Amino acid sequence: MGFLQGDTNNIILDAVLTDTGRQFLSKNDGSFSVVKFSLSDDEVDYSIIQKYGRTVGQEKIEKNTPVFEALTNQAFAQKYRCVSVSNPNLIYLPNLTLLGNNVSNNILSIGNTTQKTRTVTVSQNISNVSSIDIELRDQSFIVEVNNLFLQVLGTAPDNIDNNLRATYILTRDSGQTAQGGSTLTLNVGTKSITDTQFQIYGASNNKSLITTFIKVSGIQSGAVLEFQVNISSTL
Amino acid sequence: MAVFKEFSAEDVKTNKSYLNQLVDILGSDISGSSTRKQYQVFVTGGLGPGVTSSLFQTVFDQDFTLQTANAIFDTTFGLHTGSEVVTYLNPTIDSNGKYLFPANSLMMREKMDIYRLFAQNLLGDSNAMFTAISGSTSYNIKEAMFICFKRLFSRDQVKRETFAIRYYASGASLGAGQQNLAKASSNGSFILTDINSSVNKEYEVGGQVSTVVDSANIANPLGLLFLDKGILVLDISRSFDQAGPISGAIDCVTNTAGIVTNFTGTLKNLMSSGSMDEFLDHVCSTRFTGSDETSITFQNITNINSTLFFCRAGADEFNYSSNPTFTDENNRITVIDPGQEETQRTFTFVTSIGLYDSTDNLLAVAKMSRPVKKDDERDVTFKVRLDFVRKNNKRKIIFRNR
Repeated sequence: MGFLQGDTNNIILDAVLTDTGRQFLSKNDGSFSVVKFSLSDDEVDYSIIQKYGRTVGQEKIEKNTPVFEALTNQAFAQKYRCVSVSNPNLIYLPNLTLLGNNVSNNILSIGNTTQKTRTVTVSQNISNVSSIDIELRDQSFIVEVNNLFLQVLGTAPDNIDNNLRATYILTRDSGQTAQGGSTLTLNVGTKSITDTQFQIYGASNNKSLITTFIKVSGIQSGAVLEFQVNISSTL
Repeated sequence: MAVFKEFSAEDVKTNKSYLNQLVDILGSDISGSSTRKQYQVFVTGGLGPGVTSSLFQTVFDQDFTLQTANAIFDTTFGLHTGSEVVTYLNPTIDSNGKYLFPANSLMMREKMDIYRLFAQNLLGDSNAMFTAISGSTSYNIKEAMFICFKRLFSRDQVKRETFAIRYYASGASLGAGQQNLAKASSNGSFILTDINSSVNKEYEVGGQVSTVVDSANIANPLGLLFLDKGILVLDISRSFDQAGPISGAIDCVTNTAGIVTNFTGTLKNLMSSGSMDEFLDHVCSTRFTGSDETSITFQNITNINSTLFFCRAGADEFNYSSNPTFTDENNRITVIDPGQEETQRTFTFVTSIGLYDSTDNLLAVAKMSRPVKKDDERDVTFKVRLDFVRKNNKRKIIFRNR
């Protein structure tokens, strides 16, 4: 994946169908149907504004930010989406945090024998503000897991792509945080992982440990939480 | 939804456009033995070790053993039953309708079958004869050389009045004791073109057809160019010198160990005595320049069916971001200076656009060559064009309206 040529006055858009888009087109059943769009800014480092100020910082972002080519893997093509909120005066935005008994430093530990399930909670949090703007309270979340190793218990994935990435669209819990934020309780379970898979996918220095990631995105807030999951063959 | 915006009916348009590409085919690619591939599928039966030959040859843009080589065109030739080359041999026809030729000829039935194949596909009747017409002048093409451009280059069709082919009509000059069957010629340079075909739009069973004429005398029709099929039909007997001597070693069927014989005759004799490979090798290797000059050129047309998506981001939309650098460790938006909360508004820099279905599957993604600012003073429309072209269903977006 290279960079796009950005030294011209014209802005060129480089567009590709994703793997999923091609898959849906090939089905020839009308499943390829674009109904909405989203904007994202994955390459942009907004801390430049803090460092250089709004005037110079904006110019540096605009002129000195190389942009990668379009990716065909839908899991990585749009990571950080831009968000529409009708209130233009927001100073603070919520983020997502991970809570759970087996979570340490945002890493979830899970086993493949007796401890095959874990329950974690993803919670919307905000600092310095008494309540989260109502438009930013997530009503549902998109959860993406590696379908080879993990599953969200109690529900079926909405889609499994060619890269074995399972996507679940889950509704928030009924309760809320003190600031009005949403929470999502996730029951994560390991699939039946064989010893051979541990040999193939295990860490090079520890073949009893597989590392994978879970991505949770709030549909309303756009906030993204990606956390590591360590699957141990001995637990 | 805060991170998505749905398209309305007026945001999605379809249109059709056309792309022209200029194709230049170098003489050295046609004449070179490493860029012209043979497929020796024909083997004589009966006597001796037999002769092997292709039914057609393929010209590549580089050494065909390399994986990066692209096939440019296939070439072959054929004879109509009414051709003098056929009738001169005085063939007999058996009770099954099979032509029986004397022993001094080779692959005659295959040459006739090739002609019938093209006649069937381009004229709708395998017994029909190609006819080149220019004004009141018309000639039957009884001995035809066929050049079939690969789809990679001809695309959806060849554009009218852009075609030209340059070659040498005569063989290399012969000195005493010399052979010119495989000797590069520089005699009788000819340029054929489909000039005036834009005002003479004719159709055949095989689609649109242009008459290919001598560029020095456009009243002299020498071939046909089937634009939709990307096939050139060249009248061999009138496009090439038929009287000039040709000599050299060719394969033949004998009952002795050797299969090579010395040939002396004209191009017409070579059409009957030589295998298809012998003839094609001679024409391709000696009648096209061995240098990197253009020998065949044309423009193709690619029909592009596009869907335009107008992604309209209103002034109040997409001004916040979920980018982790958009907020600091205290969840405070970093692009607003401390103490300036009353006067400053947030902004984002957009670098990509995702097109989604109703269940949030990302179907297509477009990236901008540089970040585009979005704030509450800008109403931005990104025009994303998805082109559905024949080669692969992807691609390419050109510009953005602001």
